[in-house]
This record gives sequence, C-alpha cells and structure tokens, in this order.
Amino acid sequence: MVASLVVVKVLASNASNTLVKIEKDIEIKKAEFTSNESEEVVNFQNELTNLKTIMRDHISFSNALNNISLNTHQQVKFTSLKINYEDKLIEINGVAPSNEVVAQASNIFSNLENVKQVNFKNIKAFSDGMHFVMTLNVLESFFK
Amino acid sequence: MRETTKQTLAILFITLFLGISLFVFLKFTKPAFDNLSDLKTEIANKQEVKDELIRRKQMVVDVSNKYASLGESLGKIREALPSKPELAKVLAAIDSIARSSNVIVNDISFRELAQVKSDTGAKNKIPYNIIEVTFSLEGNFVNTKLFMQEIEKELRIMDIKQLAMNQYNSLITQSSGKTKTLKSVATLKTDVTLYTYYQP
Repeated sequence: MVASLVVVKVLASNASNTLVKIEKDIEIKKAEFTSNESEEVVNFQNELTNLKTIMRDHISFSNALNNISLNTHQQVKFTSLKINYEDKLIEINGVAPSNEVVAQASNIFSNLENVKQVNFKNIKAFSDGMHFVMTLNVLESFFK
Repeated sequence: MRETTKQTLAILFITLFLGISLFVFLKFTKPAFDNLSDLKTEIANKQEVKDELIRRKQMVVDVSNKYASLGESLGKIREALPSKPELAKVLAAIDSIARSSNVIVNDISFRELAQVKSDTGAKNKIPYNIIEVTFSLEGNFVNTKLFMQEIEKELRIMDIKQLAMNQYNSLITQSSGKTKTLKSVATLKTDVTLYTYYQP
C-alpha cells in the first residue's frame, strides 16, 4: 500500500514537472506571435476572402448591352433604355412600324434562355409608328 | 499464550492492518491517484493548446511566406481592393477610359455606402466598403459599350449596377462660308451608377 502510494506520488511529481514544462512552452509559443504578424495575416486572409466574393459577383454589363443589341428587331428603334442590375429589370422605350413588329420584337426576347418575362405597356400609335415600353425580367446570367 | 488468545490477536492485527490500509488508501493513495489523473487530463489539454499554437504559428509562417512571395500579384490585389477609397484613382481611371472610348463624362459624384461582410464561413471577417459612383456619358452606342467593356477590364474592380440611356436631339452650329446654320444632332446620354470597393 505504501509502495503504491510512493509510486503514485512519484508519477504525480513527474506529471507536474511535465505540466510546468508544457506551460512554459506555451508561454514561449505565445510570445512568438507578434500582434502585427497575426493582424497582417488575418487582414490578408480577409482581403482575399472579400476579393473572392467581389469577383464572384462581378458583373459584365457590356454583355447585357450586347444581349439587347444582338436581339433587337431590325425594324425597331429604341429611344431609351434603363437597366437595373439589383432588380434584374430592363426597361426599353422604342418605336416600331406596326404592332406586328412589336410582337416579333417581344418574341425574340422571350425566346432567350436568360429572359424570364417580357411585358409591354403604353403602346400608342404616333405619326412615326407605334411607341411602346417593353420590360424584361432577366436572370443573373444575362449580365455574365 | 492460549490458542484462542493467539487467534483473537491475529484477527485483531488483521483487522487493524486492513483498517490502516483502508485509511491510507482513502486518505493518501486515492487522492494522490485522483491528483495524478487530473494532472494527466490537464497535460493532455495543455498539449492540445501547445499543438494548436504550433499549428497556428506554422500557418502564420506559411501565409507570411506566401504573402512575401506574391510580389507583383500583391500589388494587383491591393489595386483591385485598396485599403483606402482612393477616389482620385477611380476618377482618373474613368476619365482615361472615357477619353480612349471617345465618350464625354459629366456630373461625377461619389457616395460611400454601408459596409458589407463577405457571406463565406471565414472567421474574423472584416467588412469591405462600397463606394457608389454616378456619372453621365455622352457618346454613341458603340463607344458607350466600349467604355463599359474597358471599365469591366479595369484592375480596380468596378461593377456597373444601373444604367439609363436616353437619346435626345441637341443643336450644333455649322458654318459654311459666312453663313452659320443650326443643325439638330441625335445624342445618346447614358446615366451610369457603378460600385467600387475598398477594405479599410
């Protein structure tokens, strides 16, 4: 019994010494971390993460313009154009020679994969043709 | 000594020995053993902390080395996402692109928007700031589109968010000999809203 007590005491003493040594090592390792170094690393990591996010969401607005100009009916003349990326909404004011051409212009956009919906409003006949407002609800890919 | 007395004494000694043993066990051995167990648990925990510190230190060294070896790329990263708004540079870039695209830029204004945090699972996230730049362009459709293509290629990241194109007729003076005439010319005006970013 006494022998086992002695053994346990010796083991505890060794363990205690090991613990003190590890604690000293931890203090040394902690001291190796300069606050500037750690801050610089964290900042750099954040910079890369933020840059990755921004690049992922980067928009190619000229692609949207290309998509519109390439799919514009030859007989339709646009007088104004509004594009809102946040709402994914495009509003086009235009003039066409007839209602039939307006319908054809609408069909062209409706057939595009990245156009969800095409709507018309304010179609009015003027001396130079049919004036109309066309709104396109588009997908994110319309801008990519 | 009688046999029964011997037996009684033996029993007494054995009982006494067992009692002392139990006392020593409960009073000294068990607490010492418990203490040893606690110490072992604490050693394991501290060792984990130490290992984690070593791992982190190595990570810091690795990132620092990577950071130092980036060289030119680091400059590009800093240009794409600077630490300050650097509005003068944004203005210079827009002006330069407008000149090369043959469009005229007017009414430029800057506005700082709320900070944005990346939606990734990274720890210690530092938000980035958005600057909203609005201006109008005058030029034909092809040149306006060229301007936008160049803006998209610019190293300082700029995202066009809104655009409004309007065609209007403006009058220009044409002189032939001594006579001056006013001529109506169709002009395309484009109002642009774009975002650019920095990380303070």
